[in-house]
Amino acid sequence: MPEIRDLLQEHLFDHAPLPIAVLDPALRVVEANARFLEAFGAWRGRHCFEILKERSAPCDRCNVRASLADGVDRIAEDRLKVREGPPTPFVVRVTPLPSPASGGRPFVLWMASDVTEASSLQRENEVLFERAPCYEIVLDRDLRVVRMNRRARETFGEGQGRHCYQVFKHTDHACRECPALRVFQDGGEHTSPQVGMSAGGKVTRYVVTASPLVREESPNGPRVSYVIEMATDVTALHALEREKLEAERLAAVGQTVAGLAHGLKNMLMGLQGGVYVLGSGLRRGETAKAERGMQMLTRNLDKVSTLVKDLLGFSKGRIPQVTLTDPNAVAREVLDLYADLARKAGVELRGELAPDLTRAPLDAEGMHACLANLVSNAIDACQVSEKPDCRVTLRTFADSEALGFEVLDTGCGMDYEVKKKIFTTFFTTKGEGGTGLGLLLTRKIVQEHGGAILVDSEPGRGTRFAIRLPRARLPQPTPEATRDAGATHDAREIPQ
Amino acid sequence: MMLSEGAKDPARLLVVDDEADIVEYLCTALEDNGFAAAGVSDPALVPALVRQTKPDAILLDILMPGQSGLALYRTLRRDPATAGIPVIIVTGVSRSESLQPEAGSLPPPDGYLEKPIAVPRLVEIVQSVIRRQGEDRHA
Repeated sequence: MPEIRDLLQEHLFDHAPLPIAVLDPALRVVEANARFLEAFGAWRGRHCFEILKERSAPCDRCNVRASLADGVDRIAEDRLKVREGPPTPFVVRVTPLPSPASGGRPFVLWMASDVTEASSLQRENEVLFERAPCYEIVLDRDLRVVRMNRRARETFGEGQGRHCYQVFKHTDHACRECPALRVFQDGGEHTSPQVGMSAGGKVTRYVVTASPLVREESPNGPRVSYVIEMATDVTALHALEREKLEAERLAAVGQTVAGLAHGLKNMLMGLQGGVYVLGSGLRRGETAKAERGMQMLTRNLDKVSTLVKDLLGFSKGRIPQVTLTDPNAVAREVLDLYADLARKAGVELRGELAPDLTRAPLDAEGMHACLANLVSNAIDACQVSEKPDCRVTLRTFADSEALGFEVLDTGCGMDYEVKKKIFTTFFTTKGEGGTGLGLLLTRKIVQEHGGAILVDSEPGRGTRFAIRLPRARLPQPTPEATRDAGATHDAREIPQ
Repeated sequence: MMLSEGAKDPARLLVVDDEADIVEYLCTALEDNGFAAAGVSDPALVPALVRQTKPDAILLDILMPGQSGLALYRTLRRDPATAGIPVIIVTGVSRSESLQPEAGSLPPPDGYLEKPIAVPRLVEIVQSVIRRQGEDRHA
């Protein structure tokens, strides 16, 4: 409509929400709108470099002159001196204006947009990426590093354009558990612990989370084209964890020694008692009493002898032989071992073994000893309870973080006092039959696996022992044991 | 012969320990030193036995299977019929570990005997507890 066009021509220049100016070939501002005046101050008769840059001569790279020369529009980011305030980021567009008279290009239309906010956001993003206190890496579908942040570069060296496994693992093939590949496959987010090698050849442990960064349309639907990985370096944490594990092991040794002293006290008292009762019987001329004293001596000497034997087995420093072991195979062996004893005791012994358990680095012999001890105790607890239809169940379980075993019985159970003592002293509830070493040994082996043993019990109802072995803390397979592993717990099928 | 206060009879002691050998030892040693001692290895029998026989003092092993010595101690202290009978705790662990912290508001035991127990020490502690009990009665 002509009226609107006239109105626009008359007012658009001044009402445009951007600073606009017209410059001549001498870079002098020949016209400017109200927003220009507002932003940059007085302009009439002045050069653009004076107004916008506070310079006395044209800029070294001048887009206005370049556009005047070739007639092409130009857009560039620039920092301009505003009327009140520091230099501010603008995106500046210059367009040559044809002269109605000559058809040449004697003028340039100059327009600028304040991008302070956008620029600030961009800077923040830059800082977040570049200075984040973790490793940040962008990968393409070929697993090539597109970008990596400062910390990643400092640790692993410049890796742009190289495959991630070359940069972080110093290998020439993708990792088996690659979280980035999984993101490219399913578009989800994946986390995994990794062991890499720094540029200086130092083993570096980190936990990496990979997420989709850019998705694009493809003939088969949207697909992830770039993945961002953020990784936290846990090398120091891992070292601390190892130290803690070592401290726990030492503490276990300390508790064992304390427990040993306690157990010895009881046996010593039995011997002391035997000597006393024997002497008393002789003094009184009571043969029966003297004989009881002799029996006490014999019994307690036997106990000492058993204890010493157990202790030798416990503390002779057997090095755990860690192999990749099927936890179910160990459990089946123990179930087989105690099947006969349980039947004779009138106790139902059953296994509930988790299907599809993967092999894990375990000391099969040690773990067998643990389970045998717990199952044996459970059968005893059933016998003591004198309840009919007692049951002992050996379970295996696994989740993403841990694997483990449970031994449950419906026997006599334990009260708080007994529960509290079972791992901390040389405690036995078996009177003449036990040395109190079994659970200490069990705990020691579990701790050697970086795990914990938990007990849950109620008098009269039963007991549950749970061995939980976090995967991240499992020991490394023993090299020589690994060589021999095939014949033991690696592949052998144990009959049910 | 150690006589209980106000009577010609020897002081009567009940020894509670799940280990029969220790019961035999302590009873023999106590009898040889003038006390009348009886022993029991099953803690479940103790509350009824104490109510029935009212011994002059009880030697109680704190760490026993099934009903623990601590639970038994609590039962004896809370029962008005048995609360006044002195209890000597026999322990294989240290004194501080023996009754803490579960004993809570219960009155402390009248004596401690730490295993292994030599006869002179046994007699000394038992005599002192019996004597104190007699003094309390006359106070």
